[in-house]
Amino acid sequence: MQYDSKAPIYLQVVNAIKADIVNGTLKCGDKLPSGRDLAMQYTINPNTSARVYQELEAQGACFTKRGMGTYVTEDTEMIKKFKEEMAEEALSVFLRSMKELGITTDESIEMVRSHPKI
Amino acid sequence: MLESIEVTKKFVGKTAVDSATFTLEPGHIYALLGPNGSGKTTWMKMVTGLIKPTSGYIMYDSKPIGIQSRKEIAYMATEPYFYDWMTIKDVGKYYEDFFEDFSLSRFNELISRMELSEKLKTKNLSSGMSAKLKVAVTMARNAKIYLLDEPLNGIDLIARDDVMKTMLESASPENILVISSHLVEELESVVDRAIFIKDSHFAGLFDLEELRQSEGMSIADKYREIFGHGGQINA
Amino acid sequence: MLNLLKYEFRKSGGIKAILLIITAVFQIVFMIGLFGDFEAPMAIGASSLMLIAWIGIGIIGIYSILTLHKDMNTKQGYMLFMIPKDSYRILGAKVIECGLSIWIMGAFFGALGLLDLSLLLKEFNEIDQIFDLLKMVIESVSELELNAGFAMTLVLFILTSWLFTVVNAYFAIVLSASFFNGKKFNWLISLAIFIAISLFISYIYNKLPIAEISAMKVSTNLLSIGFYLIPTVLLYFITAWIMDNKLSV
Repeated sequence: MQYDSKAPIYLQVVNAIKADIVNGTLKCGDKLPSGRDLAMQYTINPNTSARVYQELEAQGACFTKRGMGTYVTEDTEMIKKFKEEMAEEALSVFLRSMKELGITTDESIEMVRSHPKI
Repeated sequence: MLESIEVTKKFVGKTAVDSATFTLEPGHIYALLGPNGSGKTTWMKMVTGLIKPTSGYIMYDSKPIGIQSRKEIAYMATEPYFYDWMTIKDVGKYYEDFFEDFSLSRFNELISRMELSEKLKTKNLSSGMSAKLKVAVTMARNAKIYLLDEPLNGIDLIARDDVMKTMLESASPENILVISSHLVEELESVVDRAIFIKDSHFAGLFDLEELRQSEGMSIADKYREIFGHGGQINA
Repeated sequence: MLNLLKYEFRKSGGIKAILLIITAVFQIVFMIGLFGDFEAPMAIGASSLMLIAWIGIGIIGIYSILTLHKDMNTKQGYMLFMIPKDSYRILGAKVIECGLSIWIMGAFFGALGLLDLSLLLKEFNEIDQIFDLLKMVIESVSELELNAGFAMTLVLFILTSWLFTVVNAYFAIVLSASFFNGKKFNWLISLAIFIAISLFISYIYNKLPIAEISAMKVSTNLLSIGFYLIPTVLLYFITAWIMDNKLSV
C-alpha cells in the first residue's frame, strides 16, 4: 500500500480496513491479524499498527476478545453506518472537485449516469 | 534504554560529533537523518565501542558502554567488512561463535530469502549481495539495540521491501532499532521517530505520526525544513 | 578464547601451507641427491632447507604483524572489534598464535634438520668424525658445552627474541593507530619507537653477564629466554590496555 506521508499513516490503514469491512472483503466476526502481522502486511511500524486497532475499536469497527485476538464487528448496523460515512466522504470530495472545475451538480449527475461502468 | 550525554568526538582537524545529547527508548524504530559527514556513522560507532568519544558518555541501561554492551548491541556498518577468506557459511559460523544472541537458523532463513548461497566466498559477492549479507547477519541476532547504517544502500528496489520486512520482524517493545538512511521516503511508514543531526550537532527528535497529525509534515518535509538547500534526499 | 585462537590460526593457514610445500620440495630434492648420489641436488636441497628454516620463521612473524596491521587499519578489523571480547583476550590470542607457530615451526625444522643430519651421517661416515673434531676444537677454546640441551635452549632463545620483536611491532602499530591516526608520517614515528625499544632491550641484555658468548650454557640460555619474555609480556599488557581504552577503528 502506498501512503501519503504527510497525513497520519494509522488513519490511512484504518480507512483501508474499514473499506474492506464495508465491501465484504472482511466479513463480520472475521479474525483480524495480530498487531505484528498487521505491521508486516502493511509495512508499518508496530506502534502504528497498535494505534490502528485502538482507533478501529474506538470507532466500533472491531472488538478484542481477551487472549484470543481482534475480530471484525458483528454489528451490521455499524457497518452500514461506516458505508454511509465513507460514501459521504467520497461524494463530498467528488462534488468539491467538480465545483472547482465549474461543473454544476446536475451536470455532474449526468456525467455519472453516462459514464462507462468500472 | 540508550542515553547519549554530551557526546563529542574530535578527529585531527574536524569535530565529527559535538555534544550530542538525546535518549532512545525501547519499543521504537528511529530514523537517524542528516547529510553525508554530519556525524551519524561516528555516533553509531561510538555506541558500538569501535570509536571512543573524546568526551561525554553513552549509557546503555544506565551503565556506560563497554565490552559487555556489545553482547546486546548489533551494528551494521555501511562498508563491507567480512574477512575476504571466508564463505557466507563461515561468516554465519563466526557470528555464532562470538554472539550468544545469534540464531544460525534465522541466519539461514534470511540467507535463502535473499537468494544467497552459503558456499559463496565473500570476496566474490557483488555489492548488492554483500549488502544483503550484512543485513542477514545483523538481523539474525536477537539484539536489544540495532544500529543500521544505510541498510538499504546498494539493494535493489524489490529486495528493499524484504529488508524492511526483515527489520520489522525483529522490532519488539523491548528493543530499539536505529536506521540511518538517505532513502527517507522509503522509511516513512516503518520508523516512528526521527533524530536529525546537523553539522555534528543534535538537531531534534520527533514523533512522526505527531508531526503528520499536527503539522501535516512528512519526514522528508521536516528534513527539508531543517537542512534547507544543503540537504540531500536521495543518495 | 579458544574461538579467538581458532580464527587467528585460520588467518595464517595459507602462508603456513605454502611454507610447508616449499619445504617438502627442498626435502625431496635433498633426498634425491642423497640416495641417488648426486652431489648438486643434495647440496642445493640441504642449503635451501637451512635457508627456508630461517626465512620461514621470519615470515610467520612478519605475517602476524601484517595481519594485526590489517585488523587495525581496514574495515575487516570490524570483525574483530565488534565482538564482545576485551583486547587482552584478542591480543592474547594473537600473541599465543604467533608464539606457538614460531616455536612449533622451530621444533619442526629442528626435527627435520636432525633427521636429515642422521641420514647424512649414515651415508657418509666421515662426516661423523668431522663433527667430533669440530666439537673438540670448540670445547677446548671456550666453556661451551655442545650438547643437545644447549642446542635446543639456544634455538628456543632465538625464537623467543623473535617473538619479542613481533610483540614490539604490535605495540608500535597499536600506538600509531591510537595516537597518531591521521598525522603525517605516523608510520615513521611508530617505526622509530619500535627501533628504539629494540635497541634499548638489546643494550640492557648485552650489559648482563649471561650475554657473554663464553658463558653460554643451558642455564644461561634459559635465563636469556626469561629475560626476553619480560618485555614481551610487558608490551603485551600495555598494548592491550591501549587497545581497550584509546583505540578507535
